[in-house]
Amino acid sequence: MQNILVCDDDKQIVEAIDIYLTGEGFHVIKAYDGFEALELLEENEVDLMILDVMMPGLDGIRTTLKVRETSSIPIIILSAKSEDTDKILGLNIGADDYITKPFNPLELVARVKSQMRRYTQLGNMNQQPAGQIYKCGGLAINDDNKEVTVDDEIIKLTPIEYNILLLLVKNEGKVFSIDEIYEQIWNEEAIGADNTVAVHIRHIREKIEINPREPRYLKVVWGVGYKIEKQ
Amino acid sequence: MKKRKEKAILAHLLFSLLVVIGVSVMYNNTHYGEGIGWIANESYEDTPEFSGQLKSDIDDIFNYVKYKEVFETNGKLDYSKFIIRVADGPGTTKDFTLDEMIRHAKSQGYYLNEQFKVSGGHPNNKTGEELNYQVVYRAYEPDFKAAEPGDSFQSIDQLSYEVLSHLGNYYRFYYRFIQNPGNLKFEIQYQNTDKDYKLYTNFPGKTVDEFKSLGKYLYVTGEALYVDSNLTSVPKNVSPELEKMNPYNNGNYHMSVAVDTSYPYKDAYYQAAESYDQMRLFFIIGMICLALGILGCAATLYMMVLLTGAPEEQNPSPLMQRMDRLPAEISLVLYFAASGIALLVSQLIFFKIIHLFLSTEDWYYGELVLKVLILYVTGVSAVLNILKQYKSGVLWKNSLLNKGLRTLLLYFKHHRFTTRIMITYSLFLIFNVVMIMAFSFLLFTYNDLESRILMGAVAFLFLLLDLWVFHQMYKNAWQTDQINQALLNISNGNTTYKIDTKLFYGKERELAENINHISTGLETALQEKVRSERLKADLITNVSHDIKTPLTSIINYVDLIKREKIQDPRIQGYLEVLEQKSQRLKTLTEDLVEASKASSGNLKLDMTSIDFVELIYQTNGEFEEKFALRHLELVSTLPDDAMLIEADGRYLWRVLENLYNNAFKYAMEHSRVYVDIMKEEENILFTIKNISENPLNIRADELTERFVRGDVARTTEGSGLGISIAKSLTELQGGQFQLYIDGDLFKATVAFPLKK
Repeated sequence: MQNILVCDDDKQIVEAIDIYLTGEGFHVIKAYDGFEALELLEENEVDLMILDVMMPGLDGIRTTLKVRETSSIPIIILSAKSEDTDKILGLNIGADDYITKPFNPLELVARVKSQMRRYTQLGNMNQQPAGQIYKCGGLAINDDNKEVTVDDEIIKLTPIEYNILLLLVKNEGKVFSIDEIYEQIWNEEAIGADNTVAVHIRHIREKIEINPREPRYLKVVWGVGYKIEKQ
Repeated sequence: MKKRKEKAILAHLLFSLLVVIGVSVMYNNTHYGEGIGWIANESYEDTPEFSGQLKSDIDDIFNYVKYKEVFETNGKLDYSKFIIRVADGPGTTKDFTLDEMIRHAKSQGYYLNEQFKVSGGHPNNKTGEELNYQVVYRAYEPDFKAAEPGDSFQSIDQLSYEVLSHLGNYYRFYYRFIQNPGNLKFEIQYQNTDKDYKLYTNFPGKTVDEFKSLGKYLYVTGEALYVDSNLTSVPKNVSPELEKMNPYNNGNYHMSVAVDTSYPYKDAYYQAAESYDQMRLFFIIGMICLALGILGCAATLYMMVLLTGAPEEQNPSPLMQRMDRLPAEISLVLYFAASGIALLVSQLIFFKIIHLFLSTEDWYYGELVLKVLILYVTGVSAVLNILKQYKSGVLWKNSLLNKGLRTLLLYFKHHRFTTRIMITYSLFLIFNVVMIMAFSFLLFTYNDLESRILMGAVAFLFLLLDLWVFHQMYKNAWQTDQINQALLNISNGNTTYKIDTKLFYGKERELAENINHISTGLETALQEKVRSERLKADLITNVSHDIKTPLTSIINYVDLIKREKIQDPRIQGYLEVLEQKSQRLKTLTEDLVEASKASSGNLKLDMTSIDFVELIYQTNGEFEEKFALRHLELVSTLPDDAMLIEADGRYLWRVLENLYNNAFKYAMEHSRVYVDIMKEEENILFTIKNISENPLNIRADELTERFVRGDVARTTEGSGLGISIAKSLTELQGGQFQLYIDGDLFKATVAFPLKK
């Protein structure tokens, strides 16, 4: 059984998270401020931490910094602060994910699972089946058997969606415009391109992202094109 | 401490006295007026006076040589000597001896005084009959030739007078150089043979070297062409005169003249030398006194200047305080009056005292010294008084000039601009008219040099004033320009603009300062507004954070209840409402934060080149399926080419997202939504049009206001901030956002300048 340390000064929120995560088969250790979290972290073997930012005593940011001094377990920050600067700060100081309040319980669970899989996988990376495999973070494309996995979960894509994703993953970080994608995938000149590519992209995003509105892999560069973010 | 100033004053007086002494000694010196060069001659023998004296004495020696032949026989005065021959008839002559002539002179009352000058009257100018003697020969003037025949006729009185005066000359010399021993020694010898010679001397039997050893000497021989002498200037006529006197036809003669510079005899040389040394000493002492006095005066004056108005003088006597408070002009007038009175008093009293002590020729000098002293004392006191006022900083404040100017300024300062212009222009006009009149008057009345110069001066003054007026006008115009510039800047929103009021004067300065106040006020108000806007944004952000935490619990627990799989449809309905409303609250708080940030400009923009067409494709892709849910058909008309603009992609997407969402929420089902991009001049114009499901009983501008929406829509899921956020974000990125409502037609346009 995997231990998850949940820390928030709002007891009801901790309680709710406890219910969701216990339902998914995790063991939850509860803490209500930063100091308590650090103590419990020492006493127990913790596999993942969920931390609120605004807490009395030691806040989430400082707690994360403290934890990072000794441990590399996944940390998900859960905060009411939803500005970009807050997210960037949280991720920069060592958090692995950032979820804003109020959150969707299903999303939280999905993200916890994702982080957990990646964390436990780190040791047996080499045991991946041989073949033409493109990886990008938790996203993996096996071109031999046309299989796409996100955090080891198999994703089902249509052939066009698969081709688009493969094109983007192969050129990780490069931005493709709609016309470029169209020409590459359909092999014909893009005259009067329509919404087709954008719709396909949206579908891919819905399949591979936990929250399609805040994509992790397939990012929209508005007014320019699409790209797979370098992890 | 006050003693120090008194000491300084005392010292100054003493030094002044020293100056007076020095000047007096120098002024009363016999050598006054010869400049300073004369003291360079260390002794009397080097001076021109000595040379002059010696030259006149040498002339006398030659005279003596002449007279000796005339009046003496064997070295003695011979009264029986023939002296004058006259023709008293045709062919007959008559001779007169010295004795006869002298006796005649005596009978006429003529005699020789102590100076050996003829006294006792003068022979009258006789008429023709009396001039009965034609002088044939005069022993003392053997070469006399009458220029006109009449000139040789003389009366016996005139002849005797003439003889007596020549005898006087002879006596004088004889008395000075032969009879009484003197410092001047001479020897003249003409030699024909050993026996036949003529010797004139008062220093007999001495060699040339003995002459030379006396001091200053002169030695001339018939053979040598030069004059052997140690004099600073040798009389030029010595050699010719000597040759002229030579009775023999040879060069065997010599002349030795020497002055015994030890001055054993108290004669004219002795007195002159003595006086010279004394005067020289006095003169030098005088100079030293003067120099010391001037130095001392300067030093003590400096001390007085330093000590005047010094802190230790802060508690002077009440009288002095009152004196110091007087306006400078009045002080000056008082000092003038004081010096005038002092001069008058001195004229009445002290001049008389001076007259008692000094000889007549020194009166003028004494009076002058006194006058100068009085003027000096009052002058220095006046200057020190002014200095004191200056040091205590009240000179200008107390002065009448200042008070007058201030009174005068009253006529100018507190008037309106128009009045001021009127007054100054009138003054200018009057001055000009007066000047022109004066100029023409001078031009037509006088034409000599002085009036020309005066005219020139008048013209110059005239020009100067007109230039000054021009300068003032220019300055005024410049100030107006500056004020205009400032107002332009402020009206353009640059509220930090300030006028440098140092460059302004008078009423314009007031104006400039007021403008500065206005801009400061505007700036403060603006900053206050920005600050309060930011505070509001912060407040909204913080409140929304505080709302989000309980909201999280609500949403989570509603979800948890839902998971309990309650079968009761009523409770399921309640839960539906709870879920919907809590979700609405969530969007509301998020939109609220975004709206406040967008409207306060509290966002960091990352402006890049964006293809608007690509963005529309992307957005269409995002919304196509969503629109299909409400059976909305998306009809887009887009250009084939890329349309580049400068914007932040994320925020422009938010604009479009809000507009598309708006259409999605409020468009009538089964209708079409039109999206197109047009190039209009330099702008790219994006338009989205749809038909509203509900009547739009609202003005377009109200729609962009926060929280304002069509009534009916209030029950739906939106926050009502979408359009407002879209407008704010568009404008933040430099675009233009407009709404049109025409019946049920809802149209929104977003325009951005096309990037070149």
